[in-house]
Amino acid sequence: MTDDDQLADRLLAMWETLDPPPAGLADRVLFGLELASLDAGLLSFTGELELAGARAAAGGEDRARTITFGSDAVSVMLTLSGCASGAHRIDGWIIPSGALRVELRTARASRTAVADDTGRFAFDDVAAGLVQVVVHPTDGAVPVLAKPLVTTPFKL
Amino acid sequence: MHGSHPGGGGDGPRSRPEQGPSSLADDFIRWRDGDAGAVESLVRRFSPVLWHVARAYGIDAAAAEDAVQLTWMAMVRHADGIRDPLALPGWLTTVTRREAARLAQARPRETTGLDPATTPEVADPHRLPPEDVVVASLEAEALWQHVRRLPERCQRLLRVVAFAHRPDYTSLAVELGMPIGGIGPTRRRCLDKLRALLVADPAWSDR
Repeated sequence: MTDDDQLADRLLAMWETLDPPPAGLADRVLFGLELASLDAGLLSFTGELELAGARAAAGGEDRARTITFGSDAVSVMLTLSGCASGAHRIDGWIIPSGALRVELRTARASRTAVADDTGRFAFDDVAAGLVQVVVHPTDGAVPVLAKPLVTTPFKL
Repeated sequence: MHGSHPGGGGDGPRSRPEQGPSSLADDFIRWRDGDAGAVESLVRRFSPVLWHVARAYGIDAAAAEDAVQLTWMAMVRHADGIRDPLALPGWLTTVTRREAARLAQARPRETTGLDPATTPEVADPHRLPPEDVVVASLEAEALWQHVRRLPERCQRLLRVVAFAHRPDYTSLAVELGMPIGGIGPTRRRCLDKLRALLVADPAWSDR
């Protein structure tokens, strides 16, 4: 083994130690792949905001976070709040606003909601786990989407 | 060249699953022939490599994960276009590099390429890691203090070449803005630069 190879091996070990892939990476990839044969665009994760106690007064949720996703066509803001029961609530907002059909995929099932004219939608009583939101092209709704847009999977 | 280290003192802190071109090709062929489960094996074994390739572009963890996800989605959609299954690792890493380079332009960059948050918590009193893990972390930290001083281009080249076992030098050369024949010599020069930094560090010289 040459000096170069030895040093390269140490570098490999360094990156594996200091910057390993995040836990659950492959699980999230596999979950997301179930939709891959669908001709869909990706809503990329663009940011996260922790809202400590923001909804505490509104019925027992102790903690909420807001995550945002974006594509060329639309952005989606999701506020995720947990209840003491372990279930979660997702409040979504599509920008630019439009009455688009929204699908929530979980490992077990898929549910659909339709956003109101201001682009807002909600899913109640969502079990913890990996989920994914799909925004579908919807007849008569603006913005007009060329194809479904799926968020990267995220964990509740 | 990244095989086992004979007589290296037993099991190292990391064990690398077999991810050579032939075994990945087998999974790919099984999957394309209709064995839906084979894709899980592909994703579990090769996603760590794609992660490191994506992170070499200085993008944050979320963007790197997007690049990995987009790469696998591209494979599912364009499976018919991958004629030689043995070329799959190169095909996948090329897609990841392209996506990561695109995401790097679209988002603010990290200057170091490593999140402070990903530094292992060696001193966590509640769960002391085994001694060999501590040693590996300390060595990694010490080495990183020198690697971070290398030009960004060197850091990227070294990381991509380390993890993408047989990177496609043609596209890598295009992305790094250098002639194809320049990759090998540039890698050597980057390693020489790093060695010079290490030699100048009295704390490192006894390693």
